[in-house]
Amino acid sequence: MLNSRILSLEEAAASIPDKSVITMGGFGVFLQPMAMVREMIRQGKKDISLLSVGEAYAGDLLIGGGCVKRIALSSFGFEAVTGRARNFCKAVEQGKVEVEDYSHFSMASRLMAGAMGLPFAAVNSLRGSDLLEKIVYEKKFEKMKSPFSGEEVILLPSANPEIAIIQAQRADSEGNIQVFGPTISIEQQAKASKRVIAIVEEIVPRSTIQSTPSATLLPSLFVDTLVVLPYSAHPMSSYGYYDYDLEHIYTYTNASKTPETWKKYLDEYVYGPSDHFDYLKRIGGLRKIMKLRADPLLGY
Amino acid sequence: MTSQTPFYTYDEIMLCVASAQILDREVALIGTGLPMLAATLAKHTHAANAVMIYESGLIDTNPIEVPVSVADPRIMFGTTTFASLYSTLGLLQRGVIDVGFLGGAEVDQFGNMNATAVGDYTHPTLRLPGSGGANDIASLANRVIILMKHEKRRFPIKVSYNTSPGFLNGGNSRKEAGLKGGGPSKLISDLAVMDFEPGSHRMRVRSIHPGITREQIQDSTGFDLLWAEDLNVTTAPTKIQLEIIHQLDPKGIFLKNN
Repeated sequence: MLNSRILSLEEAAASIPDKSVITMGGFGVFLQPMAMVREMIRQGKKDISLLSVGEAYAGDLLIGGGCVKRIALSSFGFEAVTGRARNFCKAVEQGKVEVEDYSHFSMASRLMAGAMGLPFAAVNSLRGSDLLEKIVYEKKFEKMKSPFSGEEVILLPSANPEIAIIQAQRADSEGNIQVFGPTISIEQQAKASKRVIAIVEEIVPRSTIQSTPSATLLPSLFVDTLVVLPYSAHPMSSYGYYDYDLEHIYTYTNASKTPETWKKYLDEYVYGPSDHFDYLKRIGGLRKIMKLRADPLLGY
Repeated sequence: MTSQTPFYTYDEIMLCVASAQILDREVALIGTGLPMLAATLAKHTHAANAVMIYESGLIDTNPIEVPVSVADPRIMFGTTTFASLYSTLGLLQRGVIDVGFLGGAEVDQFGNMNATAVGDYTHPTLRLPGSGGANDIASLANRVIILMKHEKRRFPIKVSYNTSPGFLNGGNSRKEAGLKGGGPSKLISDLAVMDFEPGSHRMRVRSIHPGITREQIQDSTGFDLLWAEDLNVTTAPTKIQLEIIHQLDPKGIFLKNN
């Protein structure tokens, strides 16, 4: 859609109905839509279904905020930093969310097929594993012999989420979205989805985009809503803009160990702040922001 | 302590053995955790021309500091190609990945790994992160290197959920299932280096880390291990390797026990 609309974080979150099927951008400690997730929790979203690749922190926070009912995912873990994503793990162990597992490549392939307007994807992974055996709530796959070579492939249904929530570095006011760094699954997630909400660090002139067009991952015709908010991926990184906040990540993961400490975390960093800028004050204010700000040479 | 055999920890010997698995000019797909440090060590020592790939969409990384995540900006700096997850993991399907690294919560006697859930899948006693790229790597990489802490509960006779296929039920079952990659070639633990006996594809000890006994290894394993006829002692890390890994990980993110 041309002339995409710039909304506030609050307005954009308000446009996400309960029970939506959403996918969120980001991967590892990189480009996850954290400010949007905090606002969705503040607004009390319910029964969200996630179609996820590796947006573990955004997913774990949304689950910890009580917003999620179903998850089809390939991985929700915090890697080397702190291991398990505890809100996610506990919700599954306690039967509070339904879960269906894929591999990264098979989930990305489902989104790729969705983005290409095709009904299914064909992959060569998953064979012989329990990813094809333990099936909960979907017709998960079909095997088919290629009509051309006779080679057998695994078919997976395409994925078309209702809403993609994408975190990126910058855009022009039309909503041409530029991403710096690996593009992870952002392009497939956005193009597969019926509606795209993008959150960026800053708006730049159209001429800046025109002089760096190879960094444009999503042309504005795929972007329905644009939110402009600096440090909105915190505590994740935005390559070229700021580093991840390891200190706050540890605060988060320690807090998620017990229901009491988790409630305190939500009160302090999600329900307590009057807005995103108040949140930034609470995580350490200008001093922390200057510390996280990227070295222009290193990008972190 | 002499210059030939400096003091090292079990994590460090695992790391150095893992690093040696990446040969110069190979294409390696690096998973999260210790493999990231092993790959960075390889790049700084014997495998300067190896191409390191991360599933977040990074091809040919050249970091100067060790990353904590496969999407850490520390591996974005100095990389030659930014791509997508679909295109980097797609390289597995194309058959160009020589070696992939895996870790997990459980590994069984045929090298199948669990990174998903312990207990019943829908109501697990312990939920884990899930496959990530692990299933894709296990299915399709030409060689797979497994890194595991050697504990009895982590080495059951059969994994409770098979996230990443090894040799399935042994024998020819992996091939019969249509899996295209070569399967696990080595398992490096903090006690020993193992492989999978040709034919039966059962786990077999190839070398024992210095100071470790056969009994210790068998007692830390939930099934009967095979032992190579030419069983030897694992090569200890060199002083230079140890210096480099501590330069790469000055904050001890991976080398916590030092």
